Amino acid sequence: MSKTLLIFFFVFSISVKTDAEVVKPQKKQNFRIRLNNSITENDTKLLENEIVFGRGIASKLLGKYELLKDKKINNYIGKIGTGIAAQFGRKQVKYFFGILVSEEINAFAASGGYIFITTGTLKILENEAQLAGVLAHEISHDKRKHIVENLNLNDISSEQNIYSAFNILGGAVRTALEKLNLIAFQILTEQGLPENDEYEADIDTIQTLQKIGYNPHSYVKFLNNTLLISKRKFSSTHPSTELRIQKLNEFLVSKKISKDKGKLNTDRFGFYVEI
Amino acid sequence: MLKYNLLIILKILIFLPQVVFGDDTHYKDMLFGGRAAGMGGTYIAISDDAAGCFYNPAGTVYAYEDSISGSGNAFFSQKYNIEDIPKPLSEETGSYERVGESFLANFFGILRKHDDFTYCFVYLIPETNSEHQFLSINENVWQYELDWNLEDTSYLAGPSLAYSFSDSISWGLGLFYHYRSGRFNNTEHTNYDFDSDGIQDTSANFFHRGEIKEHGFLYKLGLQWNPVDEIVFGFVFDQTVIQNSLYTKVSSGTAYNWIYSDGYSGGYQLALENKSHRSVPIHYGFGAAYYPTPSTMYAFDIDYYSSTSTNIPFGFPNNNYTVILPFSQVESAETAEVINNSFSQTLRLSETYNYSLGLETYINAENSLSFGFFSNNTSAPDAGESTAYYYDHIDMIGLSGAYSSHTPNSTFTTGLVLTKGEGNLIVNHFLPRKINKFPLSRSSWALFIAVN
Repeated sequence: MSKTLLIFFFVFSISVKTDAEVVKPQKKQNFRIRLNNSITENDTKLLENEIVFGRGIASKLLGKYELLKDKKINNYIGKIGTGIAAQFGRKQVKYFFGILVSEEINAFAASGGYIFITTGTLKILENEAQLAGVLAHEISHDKRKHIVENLNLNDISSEQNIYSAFNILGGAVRTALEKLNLIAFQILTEQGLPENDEYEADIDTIQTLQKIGYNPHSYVKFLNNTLLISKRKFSSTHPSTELRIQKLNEFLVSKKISKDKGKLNTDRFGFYVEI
Repeated sequence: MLKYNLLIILKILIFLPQVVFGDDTHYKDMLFGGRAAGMGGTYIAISDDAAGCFYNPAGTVYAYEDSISGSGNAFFSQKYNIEDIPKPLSEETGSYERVGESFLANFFGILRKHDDFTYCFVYLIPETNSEHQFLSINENVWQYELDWNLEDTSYLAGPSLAYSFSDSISWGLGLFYHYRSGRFNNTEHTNYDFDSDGIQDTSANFFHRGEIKEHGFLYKLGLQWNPVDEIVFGFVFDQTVIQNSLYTKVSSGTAYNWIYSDGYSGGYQLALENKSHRSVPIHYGFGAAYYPTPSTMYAFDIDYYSSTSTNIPFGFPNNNYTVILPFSQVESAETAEVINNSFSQTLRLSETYNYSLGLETYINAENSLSFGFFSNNTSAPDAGESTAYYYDHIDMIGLSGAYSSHTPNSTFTTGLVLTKGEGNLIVNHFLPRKINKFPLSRSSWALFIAVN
């Protein structure tokens, strides 16, 4: 209900133009822009605004958690994540990978290419294949725009209105944007994304690991490990881990994916990740 | 008294007029670029993509973004047909048809924008001519076979630069290297049994082979002006200057006569080389485009080509000095040679105009259609205005249509271009002085694809 009110507020706000409206420089002979070009124009605008939106969520995460300043491990995580994103992420998005200092076992896709993993998660990872699985899972959330869709911002009519609000913002709109960021932050850190979104991302993860050459079963092993650690819950933001594992196992069987196939890179992981 | 046996051979020789090389009297034979081709080449006032680098470089400053484009004829078919040609040694008339087919990648362009400048590099094939014919006539007492093959293609490649003075005026320059390469092979064979006794009385074999090479430059200057919103005018000026050319032709023939003591038997071989440059008309183009909505656009072009004199590669008639002109009364080879030498070796091209109309409409943001109509008139002189031995005089019209599928990063276009024209093959005779006209038709269709 509150989200609906916020969206309504946005639409209403931008329908009343203010002096603060930013006029974008006109392209030469704009009348030449054909209908097909408007696809690109809209997509670009939407992406730009999604990045701004994601940056807002990221700032909230960084407000809650400290960012790990370890060059060696940051570079390593960045390389693994960038490699996966280059092949399976959105081409137009520049991905950023950060490590949050927290004992929680969690990872976040803050939208717009901002991906975070906690030190708590890194501690229970056994190898590079599992790390790649966690990052691929978050990249899938980003690629599928789960958080954006969960906020119902991807409806064509409301999306255009709301996203354009980012560019012509007045003070009230900024406040509303801040609230939307807060809702997204709460979804990521407390409520969690819908179960279907998690399953989608899980399946994407298995397929990604398989294509890259990592052992897909390693990701299921990681989920199993989280179950074994009773003190540290995997996270309340994820659906029943048992159910996820069950579905993934069914998928692996249906696709006849061998347990022994694919690399783990345990030594390299151990070399770089020392927490 | 006419030497009947000689006449037989020679008449057969020229049964099919041998237009030596491609079509230098039409200037809109090939459309290229997906969007431009779909609109019948009506692009002078549009030109805001890589294809525009050639149509009118000035328009490229308004290109939406950097792009790489390519287009090609997935299938291209040409047909050339002459009616009412008298058959050898017969009162009957017939027709002959030459056809050509090809798959041709005829355009590639790269466009880059840099502030107020845009620069491009394009490669394109503005004209290609492909004619093939195999003719076999067997009328009991005489046989005739012809195998004719011609391929003639012109290429252009080079950069263009455009600059916008303001939001409403831009200019562009292009310099394109011109290269033309063509060749033909023609063999003819005839036998005749005069007295129908089953024994061959005369026979003749002729072989002709020719090549054409041209090097030069096409200079192009373009301007676009947007005086009021949604309307653009475009202007272009260009000319191809041939810097270097070489036409070569080799002919040989043998003829045997077994029944007449004064009949001709023997052979000949002749090689010709011509380095004189062909002249190409100056082209002025004007276009207007109207963009009422993002989903609709209308365009109109008019092209003017100046008159000029162009040499006829290899000259006329077909190199064999003993050839007697068709339908003429020549009593000796000496007379024939005199006539031969008197033929005009140049063709005075008339000034001519082409018109084209284009329409582009979007079904939605992902799908659009374009249509075009265009003329491709000849600059060949009317009958009686030239003493060139023979030439085509035919005005063509064309229709085009294309479908485009758009994604945020690319456009795929496929379409069809149809052309058709009817006119005359004009043959000038000297003895007696008269002009013959034979109904002539040309047609072509091309299925093209393009990506941008």
